[in-house]
Amino acid sequence: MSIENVTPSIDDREFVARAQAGELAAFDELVRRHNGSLYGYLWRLCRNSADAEEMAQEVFIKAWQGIARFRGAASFKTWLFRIATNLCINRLSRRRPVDPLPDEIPGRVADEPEEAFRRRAQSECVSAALARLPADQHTAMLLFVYEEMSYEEIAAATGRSRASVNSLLYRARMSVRKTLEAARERGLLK
Amino acid sequence: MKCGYEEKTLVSYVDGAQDRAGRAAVEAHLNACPACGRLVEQLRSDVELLRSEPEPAVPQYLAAGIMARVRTRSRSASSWVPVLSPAATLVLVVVGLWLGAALGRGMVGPLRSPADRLASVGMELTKDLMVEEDR
Repeated sequence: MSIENVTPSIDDREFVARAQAGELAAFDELVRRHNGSLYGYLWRLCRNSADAEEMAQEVFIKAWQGIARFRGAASFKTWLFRIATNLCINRLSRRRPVDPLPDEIPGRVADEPEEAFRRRAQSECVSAALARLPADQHTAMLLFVYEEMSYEEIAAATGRSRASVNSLLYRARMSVRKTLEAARERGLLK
Repeated sequence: MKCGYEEKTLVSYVDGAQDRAGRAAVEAHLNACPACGRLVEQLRSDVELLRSEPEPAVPQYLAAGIMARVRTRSRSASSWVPVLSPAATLVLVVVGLWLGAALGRGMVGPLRSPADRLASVGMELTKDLMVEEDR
């Protein structure tokens, strides 16, 4: 699917136009606005701070180099995440091993409060549920859950059709449902 | 799903991806199907659980580091005097080589020494002046 048909942010458009004219200060503003969410997306994809940082830099460099070609039909963020997704497909072509659901949560650390222990157990179950997903479902799920993108925006950011995104998210949601349900049955989640 | 209702439709409903007519159709079914109603609630709570996870800490220096690299790339890209297309560059190289060879040969005939070339230019100028004076 093309990157069209996604409403761009009005505020970003002004800075994009100035960046296309060569104004680095305008691009700096775009970096400040989007580096956090981009880093978060990349970190959740690769689960490594150094890799996420390096890829974030590379994404913005590619964005700067290609900004003259950005037509503005989609939002700058959607376009940026499209660059990031393509970069990740190349870099992470082999998925890291799937984390098995822990048979038992590591014992509570001495003096660890109940709430902290519960949150840690929950985080591990959430990580396991997402890690089990194939790359394309994982990407779509992250964009939906944490970037709150619409199906159309996810389609534009991943180069897929809206129908394909619907299918990916359906399979991803069913897989996550199954994993979390198993965790609850084993007492790992409330 | 035991009732046969398409689960994919329920997922897109929970995700807010149904149009008004689609939403109405799903809601009409949910009013009559407790099992689907439970699945919808479970799908919503799954997303809430995933979103309750803390955001990864963004390095404070990330934005500055990105712009430092962008500026470096920008400077190295503009350090060359005008960037030419490959075709234009090739033409310039060929013309330059031809000019260099032509200048070495004195444009016509075998290679001549600089002194000879200056002398011939001087002779030509003298002839021109004589023509002018004769007019």
